[in-house]
Amino acid sequence: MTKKVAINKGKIAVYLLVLCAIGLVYWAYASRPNVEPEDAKPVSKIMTYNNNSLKEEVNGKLIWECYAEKMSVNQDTQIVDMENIKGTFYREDGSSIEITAAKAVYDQAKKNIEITEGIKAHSTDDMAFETDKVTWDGEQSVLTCDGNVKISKPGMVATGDKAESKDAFQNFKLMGNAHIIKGDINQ
Amino acid sequence: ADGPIELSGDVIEYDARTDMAKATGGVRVTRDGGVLTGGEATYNFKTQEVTITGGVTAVKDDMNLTADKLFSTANQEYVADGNVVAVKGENTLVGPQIRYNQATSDISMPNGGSASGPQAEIKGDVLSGNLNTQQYHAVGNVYLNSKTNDVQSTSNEATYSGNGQDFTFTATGNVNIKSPSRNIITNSDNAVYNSAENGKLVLTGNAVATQNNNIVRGNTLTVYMGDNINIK
Repeated sequence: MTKKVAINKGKIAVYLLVLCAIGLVYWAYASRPNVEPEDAKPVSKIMTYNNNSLKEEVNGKLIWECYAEKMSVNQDTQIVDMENIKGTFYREDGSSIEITAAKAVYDQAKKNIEITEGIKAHSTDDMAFETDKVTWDGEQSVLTCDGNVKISKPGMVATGDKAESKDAFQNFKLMGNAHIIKGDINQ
Repeated sequence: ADGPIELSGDVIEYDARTDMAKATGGVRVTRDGGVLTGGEATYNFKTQEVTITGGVTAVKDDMNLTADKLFSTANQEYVADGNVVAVKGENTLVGPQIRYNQATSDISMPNGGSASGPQAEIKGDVLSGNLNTQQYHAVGNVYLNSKTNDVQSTSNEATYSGNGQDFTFTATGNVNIKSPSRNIITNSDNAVYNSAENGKLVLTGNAVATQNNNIVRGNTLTVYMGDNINIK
């Protein structure tokens, strides 16, 4: 009887071992990391150019042009990241305003530009402005200064939170804490 | 304007071609030591003309003016329109329109109103005068009230001239003068009053003076309305 019991116990142990092995194999399979195949990951094609210019013309008339020391063009998003830029916006009367800054982003699809960091602007008719950010709305043809706006012309200083213009700041609209001082300002 | 002009507001639109600015929202214009405030203003930097509307105040030196609208030219002429109250020193002008020349202190109130000072108040359909010399001229439904001497006059036309504590006035056309405290009423074509000469009142043309049921008539009557009353 004793011999019979010993054999049974052996068999059970073997069965248990086999079950454990199967369970281990199944667990290993079920918890494997979901690794995508190498060629499926989307890679944005970024083309980089140095000392290059962008421009926009409407009906053959140059509206603006922008030179950048470095341009990184994302082929998919159509976004152009630019460094150390010099942008020139042209007015009806042929005068223009030149904006220099450390950074700018051009959205080719919307034709919008956003200029930031170290902005300095000066026009051919002796107007200058400083601000935190400049944006160009291609659709509305509106140039907007946003944050700490200071516009100065001979005999005039205008300040405000925000300013916008449809003619490269020949005329402009100040918004928020708008203030103009005109005349002999040093008096 | 000699010194710089300052314009501020919530929004300012500036046009370089016309050299004009339009400000809206909490507008303040500072010029030559004077301050204008209102709801909206247009400033012409070329001509120095400013138009300001919406609860206007104009303050400079001892002049303080409120109105619905104010237009100011380069040579410091102000035209204030609508509910105008102008206080300068001890004088107060009230009327629908006041034109004020800051350089000369001349005022004119083409649509009538009143001018009052420490001694007297004068009203009329048309008023003009000078705030410095304290001389006013009123035409049409003229009412003149001397607060200090208790003399009230109505006439077609009158000129009032203040001189420190004293004053004179000349009234013409349907002149009626009352002094309730003296119980005197006069009527005449013309009248001249001088507070300095013991309240001397000279009536000319159809002159009638009545006191306590006593009536005196003549072409010329002189009434002394000072400390003691007598009629000549």
